[in-house]
This record gives sequence, C-alpha cells and structure tokens, in this order.
Amino acid sequence: MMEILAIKKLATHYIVNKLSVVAVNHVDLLVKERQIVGIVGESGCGKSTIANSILRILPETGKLVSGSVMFKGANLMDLKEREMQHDIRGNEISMIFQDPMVSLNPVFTVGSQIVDVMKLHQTCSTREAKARAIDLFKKVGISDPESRFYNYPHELSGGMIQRVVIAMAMSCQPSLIIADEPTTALDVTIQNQILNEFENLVREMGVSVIWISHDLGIISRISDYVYVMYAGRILEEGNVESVFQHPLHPYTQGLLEANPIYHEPKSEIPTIRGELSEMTLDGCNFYPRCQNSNKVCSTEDIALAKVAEDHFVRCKQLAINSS
Amino acid sequence: MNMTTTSAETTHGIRYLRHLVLRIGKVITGGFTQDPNIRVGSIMVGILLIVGLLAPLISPHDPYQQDLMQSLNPPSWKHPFGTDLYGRDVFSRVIYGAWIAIKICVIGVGIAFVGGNIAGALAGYYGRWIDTIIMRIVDSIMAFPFLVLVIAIMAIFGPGLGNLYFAIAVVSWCQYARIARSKYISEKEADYVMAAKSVGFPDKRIIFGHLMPNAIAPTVVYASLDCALVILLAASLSFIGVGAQPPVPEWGAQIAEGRQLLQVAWWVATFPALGIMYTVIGCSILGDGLRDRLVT
Repeated sequence: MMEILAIKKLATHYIVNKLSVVAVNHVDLLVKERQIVGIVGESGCGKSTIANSILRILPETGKLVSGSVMFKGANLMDLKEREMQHDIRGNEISMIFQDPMVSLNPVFTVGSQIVDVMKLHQTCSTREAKARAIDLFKKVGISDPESRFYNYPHELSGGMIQRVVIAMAMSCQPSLIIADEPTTALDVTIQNQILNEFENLVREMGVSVIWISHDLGIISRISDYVYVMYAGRILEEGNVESVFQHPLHPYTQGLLEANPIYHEPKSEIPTIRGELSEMTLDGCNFYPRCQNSNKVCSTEDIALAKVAEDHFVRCKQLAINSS
Repeated sequence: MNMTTTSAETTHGIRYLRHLVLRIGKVITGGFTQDPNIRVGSIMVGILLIVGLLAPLISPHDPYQQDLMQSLNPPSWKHPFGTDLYGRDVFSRVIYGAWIAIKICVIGVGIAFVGGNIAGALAGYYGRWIDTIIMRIVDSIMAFPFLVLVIAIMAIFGPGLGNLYFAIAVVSWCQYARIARSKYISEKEADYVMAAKSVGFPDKRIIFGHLMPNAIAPTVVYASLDCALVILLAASLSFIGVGAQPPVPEWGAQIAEGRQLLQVAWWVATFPALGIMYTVIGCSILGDGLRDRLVT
C-alpha cells in the first residue's frame, strides 16, 4: 500500500509565558492509502496537537519546532501559507472536530456552509454544489436532506450536525480525513450509528483516516493500525489485533485493564496510579507511574523497538527482558 | 480563477448584508408587539425618516424663500411654526432640518461604523503589532476631548456640511473599533473559526464572512445610540458656527439664528430645538430596545 502521510520526528511546543511546553515530542507516524489509523491516549497527551500540526492550524502560542510532514511527496512544513490554505486544507486533508455544535457558524444555514466549502475548492455552480451536498447528506444518513439543507445549526441535534460536518469533510473528496474525537460529544447510540456510517463511507470512498480518540473501544473497532500516545510520545504502535490482544507496554496494559467491561460488576477497577507527568524527562516519560520501572528507566531514553510484525514498543524493561 | 473568487466574495458579501438587514428587521418586527422600547423607538424614528425623506413634498414653503414683509410672524395657519427674521417659514425649515439630520446620521455614523468595524476586526483577529498600531491610534484620538477635536478638524478644513460629516466620522470610529475588537477577540477562539481554517478559507473570508455576522451586533446597537450623539454634536457645532452655515436649514444653525430673538420671537429657536429633542429621544429609545434584543 502506498503511503499518504508520513510524519517524521514531529515536535510541537506551546510557548506559555516565554517558557516552552513540549506537547508533541519527536513523533513518527505513517498513514497508508485506505487505512484508518487510530491515535489513542489520555487527555492532554498531544493527540489533537498532532492533528493541528499536520494542518498547521495551531493556536498562536503553538510552535512547530522540528520534523517533517510528508504528504503525497510534499513536505507540508515547507509549503507557503497560501498553498497550504488553498491546496491542502479542506481540499486534500479535511478535519472533523470534537464538538459538532460549535464547529459550524451559528448564523448561516448548514447547506450554505457546505456549498461554500465546495465552491472554495472546486469550480462548480451553486446548483451543482447543492445537488452534491444533498447527495452527501443522504450518504451520511441525514433523513429528509432537502429540508435539512435550509436549517440553521441550532435547529439540528448533535448527531445530525456531526453528520453534516462529516459530509462537509468529505465534500471535496480529500485523500485524508483527520477526525479529532468526533463522537465524544455524542451519546452512545448515536455514536454507534455514526461510526457505522462513517466507516462504510470511508471504505467506499477509499479515503485514509486519522481517528483520534481516548475511547479504546472505538479505536479497536474502527482502526486498522493504532498508536498509543502518552505525554507527547508514542509508547506503542501496531496492528489493532496485535496491540489489543497482546499489549506489551505497561501503559497500554494499564489502559486496557482499566476498562470496566473486563471486570465483575461493582468490583474495584484497576487504575494507573499517579498523574500525567512532565512531558520532558530524561528517560521514559511513563516511568513515574510505571509498576515495572526501575532506575534505568529514569535515566536512559529508548527508541521504539520492533517486537513482532507491525508491532513496536518503547520500553526499557521489555528490551532488557527479551535480550 | 481570480474572477470566480471575486464573484464568490461579492455574493457572499451580498448574502451577508441581506442577512444583517433581515436580522435587524426581524428584531424590530418581532419586538414590535412585545417590547415597548422598540415599538416607541421605531415609530419615532420611522416618522422622522418619512418626514425627512419626503421633505420636498410635505413642506408648504421653500425653506430658503425670503419674504421680508412677513418677518417674525407668530405661528398661524399659514405658517404653523411662524416665520424667522427673513420671513422664511420655520415649519419648512424644521422639516428640511430632519433631512439634514438623516444625512448626518447615515454618512457620519455610516463611515464610522464601517471603518470602526474593519479596524476593530483586523486588530482583534490578528492581534500583535496590527492590534498595537490600530489601538494606539484609537487611544490617541480618544485622548482629546471629543468636541475639541471636532472643532479643530472643522477649523482646519473650514466650516460646512461636507466637512462636518468627515469630522464626525474621524472621531467616532474609535468607539466602534474598540467595541468590535473586544468582540472579535472573544469570538475568534470559537471552534467554528478553527473549523473554517481547517477547510481552507482565507483570512479575509473568515474575518468578514464568518466572524463579522457573529460580532457585529454590539456595534449595530452602538450605532443607533450614536445617531443621537452625532445629531447633538452636529447641532452644537452648527450652533457655535463651525458646522453647517446659514442659510442651510440645519437645526443647530437655526437655533443660533433664533437665539438673539428669543425674547421677541420664541418660535424661531424653539421648534428646531424640539426637532433635535425628538430625534435624540427616538434614537435612544430604539437603541435601548435593540440592545435588549440583539445583544444577549
């Protein structure tokens, strides 16, 4: 399969009061054609920052420090702002945001907003754009798309709006969709419907997807390949089957352990002790919370090591034990 | 390519203007039955608009027509508001004064509204040095007492109605810029702005197409209140002789003409003064009503 997106050693910092806070620390990430890649990790580990770094829409305080983002052979970091805006955003790579209720402009109808996006990137008349928009609305499961077209965002439910946003993300036939926790704000039944529709549509259109979530269930269900992030670094990556069946990193193990569905009702659920630590430690980021850690972990850094076909882990103890 | 972008921009601009007008229209018609402020304010301003726009049809006499034989006639059926020193009909002059007041509001406030919104949008959206430059200009204009600065400008460019519009616009855009800026700063963090960026809209579209409709309400309200202030300001300037010059039937100028005659002919100064009072009260009440409904 061909690579669509290859991120190499991406580092993003936030400058707060002249101090820089590391949000993404030398992350490598690969997305292949027609692949759904999941990024999973707890809040504040840098998942969304990766997404924003790819599109270069970081807030004012965010700064891309180093690394390259190769997209179809071009480095997005080197593109001019104008090329980025005109050729990449919305056209080649589009993004779906977490909270659908606030990601549409409240004063325009949803139809006019999707038509605007299409006319921005493609030469087509308003009528053609409208026909395509209604077609897309049907595909993402919006009932009565012709009249929904003229609704304002506040007139639609959260699930409906997220469908509109998904339709908008697909409207220009992008090669890559970045979905930043698109189902987090929805209730479980709607989440399920939207996941199904989204997956079918994506597979049908052959789009690659980066799906960001902190929900292991969603990630295991939708993605082909998964990255487990912690404090700005990738701790484990691999095929979904391999990572979820045989989690090797203590953090991944801890996350899966903490899932209530694997436990008796009312029994105590194991947790990962401690809190998210400093992003920049000399050794492994996770060692202050790790049950297997010892002195080596706090001093020496370690690279991602291959443990199986399509399965990489960043853990000193594992490397020591296996050798 | 260039053609299509410009046409897209124009259609967007038209759509957005239509949206704004419809929204204000909806607020006024919707509030008409419920909100006494909007009801009274819009009726008062509506009457003023009708009188001003139809001035040539309504006024019984030519406001410039002198008739020295009829000098200082008290109010009568022929001259409802009496006549002034030169025998001109005060009623007609007050009606033409309404037309001038409308022009001052539309041109003076209009320029200030548009300019202030654009400046505030740029300052609020981009921040950094653009913000610093624009807001320091605003600060330095506002450091002067309002009236003194206007008088200074009028003194430099010479008296007259044309310069009056200009002088009013120069000093009053600052308030709009400040109000707009604060709104843009809070609004630009909204997710739909991020979403608009992520689909590749250029900054121009984001500022004027996406943010402005959401950020314009407070300045619309301020504009309706500002109309009252601007009419007062224009009248004061004309009164002290740096604004509209005689024989232009501007209300302030008329009061100035009638001032010395107050003891012999009270009607020459009183009726234009009532005109000013009526307009200012109407604009203020309408502005209050709009504020309650437009700004949440």
